[in-house]
Amino acid sequence: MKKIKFKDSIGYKLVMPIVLGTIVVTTLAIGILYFIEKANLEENIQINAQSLVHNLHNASLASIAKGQRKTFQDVIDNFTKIDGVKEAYLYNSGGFITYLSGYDTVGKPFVKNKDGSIYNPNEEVFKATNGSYTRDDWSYNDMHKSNISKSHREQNMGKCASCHITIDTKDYKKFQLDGTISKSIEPLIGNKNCITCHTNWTNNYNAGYIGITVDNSIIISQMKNTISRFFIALVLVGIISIFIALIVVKKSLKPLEIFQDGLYKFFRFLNNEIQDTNLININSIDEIGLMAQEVNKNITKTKDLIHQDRAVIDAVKSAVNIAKTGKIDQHISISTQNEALNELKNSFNELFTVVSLKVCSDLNRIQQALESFQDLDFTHRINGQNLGEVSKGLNALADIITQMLIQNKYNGEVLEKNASTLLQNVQVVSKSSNHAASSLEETAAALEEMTGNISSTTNNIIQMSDLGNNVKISVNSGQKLANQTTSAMDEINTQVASINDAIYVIDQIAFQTNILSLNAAVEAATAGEAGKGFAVVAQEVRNLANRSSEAAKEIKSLVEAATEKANNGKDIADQMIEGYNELNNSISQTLELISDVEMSSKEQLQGIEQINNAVATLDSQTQQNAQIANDTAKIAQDTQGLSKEILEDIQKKKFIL
Amino acid sequence: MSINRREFLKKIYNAMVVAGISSFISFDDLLAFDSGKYKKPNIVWLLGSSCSGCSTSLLTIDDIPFHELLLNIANVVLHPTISAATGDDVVHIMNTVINDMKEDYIFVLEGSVPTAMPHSCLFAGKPIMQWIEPLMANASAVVAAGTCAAFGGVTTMEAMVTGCKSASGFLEENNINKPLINLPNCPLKPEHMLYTLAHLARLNKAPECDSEYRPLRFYANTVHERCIYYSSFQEKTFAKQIGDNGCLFKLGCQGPITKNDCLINGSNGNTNTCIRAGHPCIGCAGEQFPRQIMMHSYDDTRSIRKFKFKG
Repeated sequence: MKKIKFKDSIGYKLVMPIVLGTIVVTTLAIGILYFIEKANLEENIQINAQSLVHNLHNASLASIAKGQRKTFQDVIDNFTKIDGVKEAYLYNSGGFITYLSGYDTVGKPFVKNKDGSIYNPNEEVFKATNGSYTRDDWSYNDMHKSNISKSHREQNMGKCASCHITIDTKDYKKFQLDGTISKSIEPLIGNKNCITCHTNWTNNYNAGYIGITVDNSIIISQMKNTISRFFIALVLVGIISIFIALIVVKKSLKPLEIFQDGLYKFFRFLNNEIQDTNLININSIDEIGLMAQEVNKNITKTKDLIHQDRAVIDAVKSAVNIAKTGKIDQHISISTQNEALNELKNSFNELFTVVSLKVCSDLNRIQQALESFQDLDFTHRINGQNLGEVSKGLNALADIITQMLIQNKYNGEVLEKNASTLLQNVQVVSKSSNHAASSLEETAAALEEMTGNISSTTNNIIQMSDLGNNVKISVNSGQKLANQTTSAMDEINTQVASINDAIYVIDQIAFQTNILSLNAAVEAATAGEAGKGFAVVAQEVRNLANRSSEAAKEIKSLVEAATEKANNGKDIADQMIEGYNELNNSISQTLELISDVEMSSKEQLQGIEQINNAVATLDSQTQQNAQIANDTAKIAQDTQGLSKEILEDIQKKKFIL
Repeated sequence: MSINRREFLKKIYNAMVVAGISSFISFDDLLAFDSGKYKKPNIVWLLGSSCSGCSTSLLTIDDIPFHELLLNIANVVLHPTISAATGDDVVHIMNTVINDMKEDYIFVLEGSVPTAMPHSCLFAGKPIMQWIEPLMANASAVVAAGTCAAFGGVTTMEAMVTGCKSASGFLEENNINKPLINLPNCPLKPEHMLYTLAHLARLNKAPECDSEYRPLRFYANTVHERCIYYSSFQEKTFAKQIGDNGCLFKLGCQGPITKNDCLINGSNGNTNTCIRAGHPCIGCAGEQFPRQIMMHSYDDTRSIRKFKFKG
């Protein structure tokens, strides 16, 4: 029987709405309770904080009215001992915290650290004065008018809140809740008693703000506990009611399972999966009981019909089983109320008759014939009475195959003979092809050696040509240098001529100087004793003139010798130029010859390369031929083998010659 | 009654003990002053807008004639009330002081200085402020005698048109930087003045003062702190009318804001004080004096308000 998953069962569908309903109701109840409790709690916290701060105000009123700083400090310190009160503090009229529980103070503003904690910068003043310090101008000046607060404001550009803990004195929150921490602040209103000491105040002056910080974590955790207990109780009730619902549903649905089981077995009987079935055993008079009675009636009826059908089917089965052994000529005589089954029986009878006429009344004989054909024995034939059409056909087929085999044997013998002749011829062709190929390879090798020689010759000729060109360049530069030598010699000659002119001028000057010195000697003699010194000078000048003249002559002779040497040099240079010209001509002719040889050498190289290519082509073709000859020989051998195989094959088969 | 010089000096010394000077002036010092071995400080005393009450109070110090005392430890160059010189002689003295005694005299101011209406107080044909300014500028120290000189007092009440300035206000206005000693009380207590002058003469410096230039010796505590009714204040036993027993706080007592030594050193040679006599302190030595609140009750319709204090 198929097992139903629980989530598909009727029980599940009945129980599920109950479960879902329970969950929804639980969730709704918890949610509503939570919001109501939360609203109540916040209201309670606010009332609590405000009443606490009001109490603190009243408790501290006496100390404030008397201006007793330490008594006030005691009041706020003691106030923090009340459960939940974390801090109590007093903002002064300017909105600065000046009193804080747990801290000593002289009534000046506290300062906050960067981490938000508070410290009292005047603690040392407190210690030094035993807490009795009083500002000098406290009774007639507001705090913001004191010099120190003015300087602080200038330093910090009026941002008091950057250092001090302040509240906005015009718009502050009387109650504030942040998580579990609540803050409550109550203003202190100045009255006529205050003005006695605080001379700068007026009636109804905002004298200060007293405040407390309360930790409400205990109340909040109590609320959470209440809600969680309620939640647990609801869940328990839900689980119990679901459990009860499950049991009730399970019990009332039990007959349904029996009904399901009976129905399942009946259908299995109908589908021939089991041989017999029972009636459904339900005695109740509910919907399921009525359904079971109706089903039982049908079970009884159906059972009879099925038994008749089974008798016919069994007869058919036995007839078919006999037919399976090869004996087709069968007949079924039994019948049933079921029309369809009767038709089926008749069809079977017809089938048996037709097959025995068309094929054979005994299929075993056909099988025997086919088996002997499989063993290549074509001598077997089907004999006996009442041969079917297929049996006759098989005998005819055996005759045709015998004729084909005789023809094959003859063809195989002819093929074998031709193949051996072909093989002999092909072997001859192959041998000659291989010989030609080896001769060609030798030829190609000799040609490649020749080609290498010629190309190296060509390279040598090119080198010769380069060397000849270098000689030509050298000759040209030699010729140029010789020309320069000639022109240099000409320049020397010109310079020597101008030196000669200069020497002539010097000679003239020496001569004139000599005459002048003579005149001077004469004049000196005329002057008498006074010119005596001067006569000596004149004589010296004359000596110098003479030495100049001699030196000029010597230079002249030296210059003439130089001119002669220069002319000789010029002649030699001219001869050099001529020699160079001749050398140049012969070298040009040599170069022409070399280039002719180079050209012809290159042409020779090209020719040899062409021959080389031709031989290579020839070689590859010859090798191809040899290969083809070899292949043909192999084919001839295969053909001969094939003919032998055919003959052997035919030898294996039995047939009548 | 005839007494010899030494007995007389003993009496003076008794007065000095009362005034609290004995801690820095011994009897031997007093004898030395008398013998003229030490240079006595010169004192120039002028009265501005005042009632001469402070001078009177000083001069009527008990037991001894105070001018004798002043003459023994100080040299009073000029005091208009007790001056023997008159007319041009006084003007001559004043000019001599201004011109020739620079930094060699202590200037005592009694009463405030009328600045808005200078001619309300004239001296030798000139407004007093024209005398006071050079005298202050050349003095070695300035002593403000009485509440009017120290804080303005009655002369700076609302509806006063004289525009009076206290000594500190006047110094500030004229940018004069001199040591200042305020001795508020209405009228001046002679012991305060005696102590201050002796301190300046003997130690050549001003006594230790608070931020309002008042000697801490007298003005460190409020009247309230030493009050005979302090226990009543703590017990909240408040007098409902003059004559009731109990703290006078609710009748407008100014004790909590008035720094003075009345309960130690009362008026008229410590014979009595206002509080002992059953009257609330009126705060005569206070910065705020006089206040409307001292009129026994807030319901009093009379209005006394001060000009804004000191600006």
